[in-house]
Amino acid sequence: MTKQILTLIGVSVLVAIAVNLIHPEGLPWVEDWASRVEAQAVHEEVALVQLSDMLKFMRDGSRLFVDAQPAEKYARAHLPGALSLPFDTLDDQSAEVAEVLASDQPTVFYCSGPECDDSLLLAVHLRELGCKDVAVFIGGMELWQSELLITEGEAVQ
Amino acid sequence: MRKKKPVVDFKKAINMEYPTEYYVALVLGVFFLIISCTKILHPHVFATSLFRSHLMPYPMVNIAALLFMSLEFVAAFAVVFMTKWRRAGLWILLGLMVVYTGCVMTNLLRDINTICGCFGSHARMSPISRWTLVRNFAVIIAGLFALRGKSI
Repeated sequence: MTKQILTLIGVSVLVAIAVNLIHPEGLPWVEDWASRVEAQAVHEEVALVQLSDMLKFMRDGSRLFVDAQPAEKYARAHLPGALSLPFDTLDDQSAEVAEVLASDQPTVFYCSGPECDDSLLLAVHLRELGCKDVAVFIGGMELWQSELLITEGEAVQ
Repeated sequence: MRKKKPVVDFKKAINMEYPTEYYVALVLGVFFLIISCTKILHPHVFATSLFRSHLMPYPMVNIAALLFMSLEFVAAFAVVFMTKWRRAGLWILLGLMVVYTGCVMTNLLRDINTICGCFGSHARMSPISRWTLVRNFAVIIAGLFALRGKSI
């Protein structure tokens, strides 16, 4: 039995190598996953929110959504009811920061997509300022729009 | 010349003449064969699922993804099509399920809200929960039940 199991494992290694060689979407054997925003969020111990959670939060209105994208991107399209707090102009946004800090609702931060780290940086910054319950929707606008979900902004009109 | 024993004697199978364990093993094998094929077709989706478990060193993610999906395919193939290798294939599938379930359990304990990806994934899939554990344990129990049979 052990011999058979080891043989199957050996065959699997060969199959993995062969399939990855000929596969049009073959993976590099080593990839820099550590630089992904999601890995950084886990490292920073910031909670992650999935799309299915977002849909639930949208329905029950239990979360404050904060858009960390630049103002012009927010103006084009954003999640329904989201507050704009661009990370790149944070120093000029003290009123919005105060609004988020004063809110007793848990806050979900998002930005343009999984490659964008503004939402995470903003979440970490506001947590340091005293915002207790912060989470990040890593998929951001990219995932939201790819699922053809409702948005607000100029692009909608 | 000696006549080769068929992999599945369909007449016997349809008449339910095999022990229940045999059918459970076949169902599991076919199930994992389909799931592993979807993983092989979209390797990056499975690699992302493994990455999202945040349990292994990040440079190991792609290597693990390639090996796991290939192992799943080869083991499931053995369960369905190779009578003499069926038990070994089942043990491997069971081992993989234990690993996947361990990942889910650890992430639930660490309160990491992620999608399982054990049986494929899509954007609107619900994150892991206690139900994911129940489902995985059900598959493990089915695997153990199948292994109990002496003539699978």
